[in-house]
Amino acid sequence: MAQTILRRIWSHCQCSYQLFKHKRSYFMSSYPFKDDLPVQCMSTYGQLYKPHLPGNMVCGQPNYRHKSVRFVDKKHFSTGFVHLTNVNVMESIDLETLKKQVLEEKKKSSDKNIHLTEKVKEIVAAKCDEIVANLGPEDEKKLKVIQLEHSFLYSEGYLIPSSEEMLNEYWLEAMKLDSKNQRLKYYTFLAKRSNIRKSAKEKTAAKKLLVPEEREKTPVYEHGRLFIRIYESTMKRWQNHRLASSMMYGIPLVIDMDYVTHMRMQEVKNTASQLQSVYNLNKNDASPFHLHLTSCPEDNAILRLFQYLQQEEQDILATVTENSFLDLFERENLVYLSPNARQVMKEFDPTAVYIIGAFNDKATMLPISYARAKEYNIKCQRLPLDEQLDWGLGSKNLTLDQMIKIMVALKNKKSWKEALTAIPGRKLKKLADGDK
Amino acid sequence: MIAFNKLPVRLLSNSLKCCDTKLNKVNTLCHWPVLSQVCRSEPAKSTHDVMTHCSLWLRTQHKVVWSQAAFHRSFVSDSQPATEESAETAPNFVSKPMRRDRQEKQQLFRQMICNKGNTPWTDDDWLQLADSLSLTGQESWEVICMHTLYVDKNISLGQNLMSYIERQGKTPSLVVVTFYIGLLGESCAGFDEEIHKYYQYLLSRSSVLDAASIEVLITGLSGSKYYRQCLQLLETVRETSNPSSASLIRILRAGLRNQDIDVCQAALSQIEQWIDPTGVTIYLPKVIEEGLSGNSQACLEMVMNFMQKHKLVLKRAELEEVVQAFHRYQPNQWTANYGFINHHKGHCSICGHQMKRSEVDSSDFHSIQSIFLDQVIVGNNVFFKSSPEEVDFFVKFVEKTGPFDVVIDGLNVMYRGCHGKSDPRQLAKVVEYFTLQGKKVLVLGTRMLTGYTNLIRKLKDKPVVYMTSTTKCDDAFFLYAALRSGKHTLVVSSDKLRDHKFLLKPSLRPVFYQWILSAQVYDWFISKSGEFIIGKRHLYETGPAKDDGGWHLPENDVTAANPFGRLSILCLRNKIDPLGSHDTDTNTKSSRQTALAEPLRQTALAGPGSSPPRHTHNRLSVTWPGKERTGKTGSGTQASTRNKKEWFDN
Repeated sequence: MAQTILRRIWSHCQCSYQLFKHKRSYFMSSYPFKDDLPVQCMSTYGQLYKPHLPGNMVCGQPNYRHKSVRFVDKKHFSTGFVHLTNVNVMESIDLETLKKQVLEEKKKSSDKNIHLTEKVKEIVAAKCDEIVANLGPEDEKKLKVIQLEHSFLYSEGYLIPSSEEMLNEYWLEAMKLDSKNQRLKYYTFLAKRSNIRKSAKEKTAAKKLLVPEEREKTPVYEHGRLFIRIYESTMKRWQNHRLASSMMYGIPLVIDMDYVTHMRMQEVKNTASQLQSVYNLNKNDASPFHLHLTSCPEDNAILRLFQYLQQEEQDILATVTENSFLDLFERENLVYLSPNARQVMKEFDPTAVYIIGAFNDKATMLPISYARAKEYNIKCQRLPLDEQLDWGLGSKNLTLDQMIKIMVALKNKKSWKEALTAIPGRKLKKLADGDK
Repeated sequence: MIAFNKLPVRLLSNSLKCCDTKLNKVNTLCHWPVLSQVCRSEPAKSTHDVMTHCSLWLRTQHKVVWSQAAFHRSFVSDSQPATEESAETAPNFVSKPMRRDRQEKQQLFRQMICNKGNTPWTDDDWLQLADSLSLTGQESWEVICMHTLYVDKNISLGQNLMSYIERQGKTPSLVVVTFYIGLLGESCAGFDEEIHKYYQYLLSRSSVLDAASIEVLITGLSGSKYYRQCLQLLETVRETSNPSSASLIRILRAGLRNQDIDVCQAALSQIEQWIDPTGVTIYLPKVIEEGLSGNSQACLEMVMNFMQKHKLVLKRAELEEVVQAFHRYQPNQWTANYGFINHHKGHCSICGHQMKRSEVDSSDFHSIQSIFLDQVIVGNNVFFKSSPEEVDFFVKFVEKTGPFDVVIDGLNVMYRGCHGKSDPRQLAKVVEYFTLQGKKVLVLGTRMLTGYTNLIRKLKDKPVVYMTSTTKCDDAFFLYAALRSGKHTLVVSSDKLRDHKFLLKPSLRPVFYQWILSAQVYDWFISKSGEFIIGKRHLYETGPAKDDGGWHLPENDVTAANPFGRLSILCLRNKIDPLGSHDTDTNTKSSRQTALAEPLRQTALAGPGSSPPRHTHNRLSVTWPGKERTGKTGSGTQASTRNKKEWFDN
């Protein structure tokens, strides 16, 4: 173990030396890699990230253009993400081949504005159109009634999108809802969302208009820079290297994905975005957990959305299996973390395998994870929230990203107090003014 | 402002504008109840205009004003049906956001109405309005105007607008027609044929109707004599949506107004089916008023039975409205008094009428018995509360050791009144009280009961004790044990047990509630001498009940101090034939009635021996008038224990 770490340090020094040598030109791609690198490091170099190398690596200037492209990218994320109201449609899309297609297209043409999100959106819209065109007679009548209802609600003056703004996707989603009030709620949500987006767009446009020169300007130094610029892609490689090595030697952390049936659509979406931050927060740590996404078949809705969000990455460096955690680990070692558990987690046990449920329950707060632990007859623990904190308002169900922050801190032998800072302040009791 | 009842209308509108600009809106609003009071005292004709102006002014103000006005419910005035409904529509107005351009246009239109005052609208005015409103946006101006008039309930201007549209030779859009029908329905009378005409026109033009417009159509149709059409419309609603509570109540009121039992029946069953009956409580005073105006006893009784079945109770202010309605429709016939039901003997403290003892129908009880395990303990997932092994074991345990006479929620009894600490001796006293009477007792709790079990080691008559693994299932388990043991098993717990009630299917909830109310011992205490004493119990029906002399309506008096209520009641007595009721009553009852006619003077004159029943804090040592009275009045513990036993055997 120690040897591998030494080797890593050595290779890092070599790498930095090369970078230092070429600091004036910022060229990196010509660095010759040694053949005798340890196997687990191989994933870091070249193999995983070949397609990413051109573009931003061979660039003399620190590239702002690239960053702005990334910014646009992220925005597309959010829009595309919410757009995907129809998971059933989403499930049938083959993301892998689509990804390859997009990359090829990007290579061929210099157009940077080809994005996977756009592609997926197009496909979803086309599919929705197809579904609407081929509706059965009963559904067609229902759609007609719902459209009539929409126009009536619009004429009553509610803040809802007009019938021109309503896409087929929205109609399909509205047809799934049971009552008039639910639909009205959905329409107001759509209108508010489009308003927010519109104002955000206007804001960015105004910013661009204000100072076009300053944005382009880059600081120019006469003798080059003192510190080495470390590119994002380099950092990414290191992070991925850590993840890869943790997949061989790291502590396992199980995320139970078998909750899709218990959640509403929006909760599934929230879970997916939280899972993304779990992945990224874990990646940033010095010795990350080995994430296991268990009971997770390929068409799992959370996984699909997670893949969609994670499209920048080539691969997800985590174990994804259809098997349950019971098949992967020994029963005695498993510990389910649940807010409803009776046993309190006293300290982080490195030999134990902790399980976190990929579950968001905003509406119904049922002790599902606790029931599951009881059913499988495994240990079930809760965090010492009552013991360590003055709990104020709010439920003790924590989000996935808060959980991973706490778990990572605990694994790094931080105290409970430090670890539990991840819990938002609004949930804690506020100190009275006199106490300060 | 407050002196405006003497001012002409134009001055009023001016002063309202002043309020608008200078005064704090909320401040003016504080005077609103006073204003409406003044309006009510005035003769109807002049206040009509005043109220219209006030409500118009209010509508142009901020949402806060709306919600506050709804809170005060001060719109309700007999002389003005137009403002009557506004308290009901107000919450809708607050909850959903409106488009800004739409609001501006409405504002413009209302401003024009205000400026015009009482002068009639001409074609030129409409033309001018159309020009100013149709500058931006895709919506047609007729829709905006008709909707605004519908919200403001301005019927005369609505008719004017409709005739203008028809004069222009345009075909009015369906939305406009729908709003117009809704508007005409608000007036309650006189437009039956017109509503029918436009409704037929609407049906001829479109084959399908949607849920949102049906809601408006129901407001229209329920106000006319074609209210029966509403039932068909409800069927259409159900294809795509759930019927709303407001429209169901409208249909019910239409049925009551026209004395149509079938429609009432249908509306009530729909309410049971689609919405939680407790949600309609706020509408009930209006419904009862409508029932009185229709003057059909059968319909009114149907509503009252519905209230009784679902245990819908009204607050004091709402009862006041009901009393006023009684006085209005049947003047000089009623005396209303607020009193209590004697929780021990079950007679009214005002008139002495004996209430019925609450009974659960045995077939209903069996259906709960059979379904409770499946729906409450097991539910969707056994592991939420317990585990299959534990449930199986407990079921066998109850079969083996049951049936019980008393089931005690051990933890609840142990922790009650102890400020977060447990007191096992308290539980021991409760158990002792029942075991001394030879009852079979089950104590249910968790491991916390070990403190108690140490106490009973030396006892001869030991209760049955069962400890569950977690606190999650103990409530459900003792309810199961009580249900299995039979109808008359007592449950000692101060828990309201609502969560278990709501796990049952809706049709069984009232039955469960009825059973648990009669079986539960919730009000008890340990006296200073260390005796266990039972306080109030819900042994008698409090729900709206009719008798020869009038009505008894229960009052919602649940407070933090009295979570189960104090059995207070509104006693409505018929003034006209007290003699008739005397003839049918028994001797004791009539004598009690006469004795209670002037209770105050009685207490002042008579000694303690013949004091009238005091209802607030009746303990068991208090003596009772009537035939059940024991010979040894209020002296010694013997009499009181005998009393207790009798009561228990009841």
